[in-house]
Amino acid sequence: MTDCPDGTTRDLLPDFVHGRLGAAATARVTAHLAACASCADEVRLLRTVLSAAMATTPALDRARLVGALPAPPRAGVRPIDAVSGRPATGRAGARPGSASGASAWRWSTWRIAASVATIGIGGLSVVLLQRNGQAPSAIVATPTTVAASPAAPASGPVVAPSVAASPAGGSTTVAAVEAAEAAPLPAGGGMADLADEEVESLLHDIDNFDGVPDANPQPAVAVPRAGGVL
Amino acid sequence: MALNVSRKVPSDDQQPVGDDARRAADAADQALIARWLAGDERAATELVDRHADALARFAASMGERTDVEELVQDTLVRAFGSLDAFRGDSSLRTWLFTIERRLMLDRRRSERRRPERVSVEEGDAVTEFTALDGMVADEARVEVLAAVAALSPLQREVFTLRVTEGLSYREIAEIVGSTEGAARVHYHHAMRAVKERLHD
Repeated sequence: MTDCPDGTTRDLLPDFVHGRLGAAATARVTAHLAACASCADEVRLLRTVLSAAMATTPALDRARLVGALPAPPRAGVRPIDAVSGRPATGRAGARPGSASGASAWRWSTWRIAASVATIGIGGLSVVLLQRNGQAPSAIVATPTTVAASPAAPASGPVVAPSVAASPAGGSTTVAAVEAAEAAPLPAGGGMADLADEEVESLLHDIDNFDGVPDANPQPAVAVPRAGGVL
Repeated sequence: MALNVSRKVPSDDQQPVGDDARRAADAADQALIARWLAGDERAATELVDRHADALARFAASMGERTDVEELVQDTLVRAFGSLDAFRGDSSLRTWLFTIERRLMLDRRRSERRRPERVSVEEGDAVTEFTALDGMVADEARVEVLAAVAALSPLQREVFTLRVTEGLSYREIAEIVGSTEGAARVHYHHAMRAVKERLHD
């Protein structure tokens, strides 16, 4: 069967079944039903659905339901949002997006306070690091040099402990490592703090630094060179 | 014939008197809430009497069978727990349906995480309502309920709230988180699907 083209009247049929139409609308729908088999069928269907729903709904134990309810709230206790189960921030029963201006103001205040606190803590951290003699840049990238000599200045600036390779012997100098480890952690400073001898020594070490990889890849297994030296 | 879903606003003589009745019901609910908040626990009994059956019908229509009373109780407990924050921007019944719907969705999610429990899905509609044969003597009722159970969950919610509870499209839209126009379209699609299933 085709649907009735009178959509306005069809929209009213559930209200008609529930007896919620005014007198004029009820008379109009009644007259329409007398002439429209489709809508008359739909009304019968609606009444069947309604009666079936009533018949299949289990009976409730009202006393048990009431007994499970909480006591009326005390004044000052913050309610829980019943839909979400979280502490209520707005008005219960309010439509989405209709939060009160007071709660929106509180939220903005918290965001501003959090931003100010973050900036303050960050700035304080920088100041403390500088007072301890550590430039922030030293944390990120400390210049690493090759400690070629055990005479590395104990109080020297920016000389990080490192695996020292002697340009002469090519072996690790234990004394250099120990001296470097005994030195304080690298702190601020620059080339200007070095004595002339130290600068020359450093440049010499850099010139002899063999850190650039060979153009040809090394074999995975070391091949003994002439003389049996690896 | 194409579905003719009119969005025209009814004229004054077509306006449901339910609007006035609903306003009166809302006012009565507000008065009872105020009494309960003032410490009158008998008001809770009256509020339960006014709304518990509707909550049970909605739950049963949505496929809840064994735990209907528990679901109604959870809904009421949660609602009364925050009743002092309720200001009546929507009706109490609409608010209660919204809470109950959320609880049902949460239950279904948890049931999906527990595969040993059989959840009622759309495909289970026939099985679900075969079990109702003993409860519903009228064969026509069983067929109608099976047709309603075969609807998509959203269509089923909208159809039930409109037909069984007589809610307006605006109220239904608030409950299911939709628009009034979308609720109207869902209702008419659901009605057509139910008719087609019954005429198969």
